[in-house]
Amino acid sequence: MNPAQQHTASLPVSGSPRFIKWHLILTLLLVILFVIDLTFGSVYIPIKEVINTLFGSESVNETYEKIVWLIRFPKAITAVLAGSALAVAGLLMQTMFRNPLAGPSVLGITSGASLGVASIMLSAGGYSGIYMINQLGIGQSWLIVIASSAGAAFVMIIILGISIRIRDNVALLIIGIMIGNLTISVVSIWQYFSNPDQIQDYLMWTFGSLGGVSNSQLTIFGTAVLAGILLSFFSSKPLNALLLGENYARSIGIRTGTIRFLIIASTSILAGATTGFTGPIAFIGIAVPHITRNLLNQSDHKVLIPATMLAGAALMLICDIISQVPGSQITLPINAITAMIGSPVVIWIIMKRRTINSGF
Amino acid sequence: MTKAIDISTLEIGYQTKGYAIKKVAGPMNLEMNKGELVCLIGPNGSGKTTLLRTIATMQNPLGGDVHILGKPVRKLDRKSLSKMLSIVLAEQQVPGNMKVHELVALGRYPHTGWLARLTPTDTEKIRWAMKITGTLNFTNRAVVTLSDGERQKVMIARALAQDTPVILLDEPTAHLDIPNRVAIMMLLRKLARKTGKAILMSTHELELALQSADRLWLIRDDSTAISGTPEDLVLGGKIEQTFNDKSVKFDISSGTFKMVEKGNKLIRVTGNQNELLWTSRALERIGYKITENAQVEMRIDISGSDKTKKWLLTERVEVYEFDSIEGLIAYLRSKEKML
Repeated sequence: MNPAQQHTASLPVSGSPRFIKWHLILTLLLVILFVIDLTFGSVYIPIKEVINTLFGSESVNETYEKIVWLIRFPKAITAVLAGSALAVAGLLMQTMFRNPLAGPSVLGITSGASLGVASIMLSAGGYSGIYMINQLGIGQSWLIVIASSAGAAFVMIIILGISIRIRDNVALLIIGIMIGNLTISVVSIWQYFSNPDQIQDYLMWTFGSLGGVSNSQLTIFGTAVLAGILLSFFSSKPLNALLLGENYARSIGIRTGTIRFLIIASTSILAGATTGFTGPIAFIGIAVPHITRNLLNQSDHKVLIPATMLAGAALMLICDIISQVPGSQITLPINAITAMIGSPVVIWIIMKRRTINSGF
Repeated sequence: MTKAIDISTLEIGYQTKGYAIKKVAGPMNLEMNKGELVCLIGPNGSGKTTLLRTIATMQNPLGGDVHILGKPVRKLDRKSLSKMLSIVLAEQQVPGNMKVHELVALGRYPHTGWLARLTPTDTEKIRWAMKITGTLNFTNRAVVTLSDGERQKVMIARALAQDTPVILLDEPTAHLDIPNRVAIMMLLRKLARKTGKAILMSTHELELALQSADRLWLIRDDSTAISGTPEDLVLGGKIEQTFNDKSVKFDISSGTFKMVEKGNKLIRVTGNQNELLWTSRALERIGYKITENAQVEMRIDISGSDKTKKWLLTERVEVYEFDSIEGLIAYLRSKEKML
C-alpha cells in the first residue's frame, strides 16, 4: 500500500461502524431498561411475566396483564418519548446558541410551554370539562400540544432575539432564567383568579408525571415527537455547519435564517409536546447531549441526534425506575429524580471547562 | 481577463436602522488578479476587517460594488457565492470533540447533498487540501488540541477543501510566533502560485507583507485605498505617508520600521558592517545620535576577529576598551548618571 492510499484510508467517513456500535449498545440498553421499568411499580411483576405479557404468550396472570398494558406500558412509552424529545431539544439548543448549558428548562422554554398549558387549563370559564391530562379527549390533547408548543416557541423566539444582541453565555442564561420567572409569575397571577379545582389540576401537572398519558394520547404524543425528531435529523447538515459559528455556516452556503426557523420549530414541538403531556421535566435536556458527546466523542449531528435520542430515553427510564423506589410502595416525583441526576452533570460540565463562556 | 476581485467606488461602514450611518472607509477602487497573494494593510481601525466582511457579504456596503470573477457578490445567492469564495476568520470557536478531518470536511458542504455524504471526489479534495497544508499528520486529532500555528493551517485546509477561486483570510498570522507567521505566509504564496487562486489576507505584519505579497491593498489615513505592488508603494512613499508618526519611521533602505530615537549626543562609530549596525542600534537606544562627522568628541572603533571583538571608546584624549556592547553601554550610562 503506498502512502497516499494509507492517508485516504485514514480519513474516516462519518456514520462508520464505530458509531453504529454505540447506537446498537444504546438500543440494547434501552430495551433492557424498558423491560425492567415494566416490572417495578406499586406491585412487583417478575420479568418473566412481563416478557410473557409483552409477547402475548399463554398462561398470563390477568391482573399483571392489565397493569402492564394499561398502566406501565403507556408510562414507559411516555418516558421513552419524553426522554428522547427533551434530550434532542437540548442538543439543538446547545448547538444553536453555542452555549453548553442551554436546554429547554434552563432557557425558560418549558416555562413558556407551561404558560401555554395554563392558558388552556386555567382560562376562565373555558373548558370546564378539563380536569386531569389523562381525561382529555383527542381534540383536547391536540389543543394542549399546540398551546404548549406555541408557548415554547414564544419564549424561544424572545431568547433568540436576545441572543443575537448579547453574545455572552452567562448573560443569556440569566436572561433565560428571568424569562422563566416572568412566565411563572404570569401563571401565578392567573391562578389567583382561577377556581380551586382548576388550580389543583394545574399544580398536579406542574409536579411532572410520566403516568398521566393514556394509550390513545400516546399516538398524538408520539406523532409530535417523531415529527420534531425527523425535522431535527433532516437539519443535521446545517447544524454541523453552525458548530463553526454563523459566519462560517453562511460562507459554506447554509441559509441560516431557514435553519433557525427549523430549529425553533422542532425544539418547540419537542419541548412543548413533552411538557404538555408530562409537565415540566428539568435537566434531561442539558445533561444528555453532554453525556452523548462524551460517550461518542463526536460532533456530527447525524450521529449525535440518534444517539442523544436513545440516551435520553434510557436516562428517563432510569429516572422512572428510581422514582418507583424498587421494593417499596412509594413513588417519588419524577422531577426530583431528574434533578438529582442532572444537576451533578451540569456541575461537572462547568468544572471540566472551568468557564461556561467558551463553546463546547 | 476578468479580475478575481474588482471593487469600485465601495464605501464600507455600518448602518443600523434608526441610527446614524457610520462610515469606516471609502470610496475605494481596488482590484486583484487570479494567482495573486494580496495583503490588505492599514493602520488599526482603518477598516481592514470591515472591508473583508463586506466582500464576503457578511455586511452590506454603504455604496459601490464588489465583483468576484465579474459577478456582483450581492446579486449572488448564498450557494453560488459559497462555490466562489471561502473564508478564514479571526474568530475561532471549534467544538471540543471535532476532529481535524471533520473540520476540513465542512469545507465540502457547498458541494454535497442534504445529508452531507462525501463522494470519492470530496474525499480526494479533502485529502489534497490537508496534504498541501501539511496537516495530514493530525487527521484524527481534536482541533482544540492543536497549537495555534497548526490550527491556522487546518482552517486554511478547510477553505481549500471548499475549492473556491477566491479565499479571504482575516489576520491569519495574528497570535503566531515568527516561524509560524513566515510558514503561513509561504504556504499562502505557494497556494496562490500553484493553484492560481486569488488569496486576499489582512495583516498587521507590514514587513512580512512587503516581502511576500504580490500586491498590497493599502487603506490610508484619509480612508481612501490604493492597490499596487509593494515595491511601487514603497518607492512612491505611500507606506511612509500612511504609517509614519512621531515614534515610528519607515526606513526605505531596509524595508523595515524603526523607532524614532530623539538622540542628541553625537557619536561616531567605525567598524565592520554587522558590528557597526548593531552597535549603532544599541547607542541609539540610549539616546545617542550616530554621525559621520569626524570632528565629534566621542568615537567608537570596533576591531578584532569573529572570536575576540574589541570596542575602543575615545573621549577626547582618554581611551577605554570593552569586549562587549553590554560593557560599553554600561559604562556610557554610568557616566551619564554621574553628570
